[in-house]
Amino acid sequence: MGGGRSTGSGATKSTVDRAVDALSSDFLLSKEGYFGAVGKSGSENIREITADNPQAMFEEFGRQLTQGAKADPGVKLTSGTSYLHPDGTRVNVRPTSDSGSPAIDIKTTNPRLSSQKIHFEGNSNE
Amino acid sequence: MNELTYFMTPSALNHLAQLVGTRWECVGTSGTIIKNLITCPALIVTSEIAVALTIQDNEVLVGGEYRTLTQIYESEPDGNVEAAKKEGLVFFHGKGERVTSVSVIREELTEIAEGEETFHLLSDSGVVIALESMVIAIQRRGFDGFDFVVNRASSPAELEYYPTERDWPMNLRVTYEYARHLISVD
Repeated sequence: MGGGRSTGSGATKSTVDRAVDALSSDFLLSKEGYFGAVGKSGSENIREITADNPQAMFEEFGRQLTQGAKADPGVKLTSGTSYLHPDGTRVNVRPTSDSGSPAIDIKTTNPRLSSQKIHFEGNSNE
Repeated sequence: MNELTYFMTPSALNHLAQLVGTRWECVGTSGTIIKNLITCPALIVTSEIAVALTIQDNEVLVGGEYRTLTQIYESEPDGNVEAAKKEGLVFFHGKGERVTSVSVIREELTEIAEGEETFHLLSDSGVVIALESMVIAIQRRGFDGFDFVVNRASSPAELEYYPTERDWPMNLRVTYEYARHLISVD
């Protein structure tokens, strides 16, 4: 990984490790490296985070997860921006995914995190 | 059940077939390289032809939820090859060797939820290029990937691939069947 193994020292942690540290204090992170809960499909890699204000939750999640990453103009998303961390972790921040709700894709080899797609839904949604 | 098929176009396959018999130069990108990861476009360069592969976003409603299932398409290399060489964003392993065969990597995934198939996906994810003394795989990083991984080995049997199936873990409710095929284009 770009920043080496996690040692507990902030100075040696990768940008992704720092983001996971920050996010895991606010969001449920399973030991397998998935955020939120399994969604309607039951697929482990498609997750759902529900909130009263999913847009605000999405923005905060995306802000933390892209700290230290660079926007990649080479990837054209249908909406939103793709970011690349120095260790190769890619984060796609989609303010409006095709589902209508905001979503974030994570592609990573970081041992604390699994590749996944997270949909941010309102609490009232079925 | 949803049937999803994302194959490279006949034109792209034709250009890849034209690599056979030419002299290998390099694989690289005008974007970023991180270890064996290259961002788009992936530039495949021989003495006579350059092929650029790019990955397109695609969100699809399958199994009740939207998923990212990207597609590979061919783009124009334009000035990207010279830019990649100038920036040192290329792998020259095998340079000067003749390309002896080219195969498309075609990956297949079936999702089974509570005993019923929800979707069946066939997706082209890259190429394997055989040179005289080695083989090189340029493979998309999973069905939802926007980057390529480059691996090389001295023989096809020793070649490592991106572990696509690892991105689709099973649980008590949902299981997967995964397969990888190599389809010769020459």
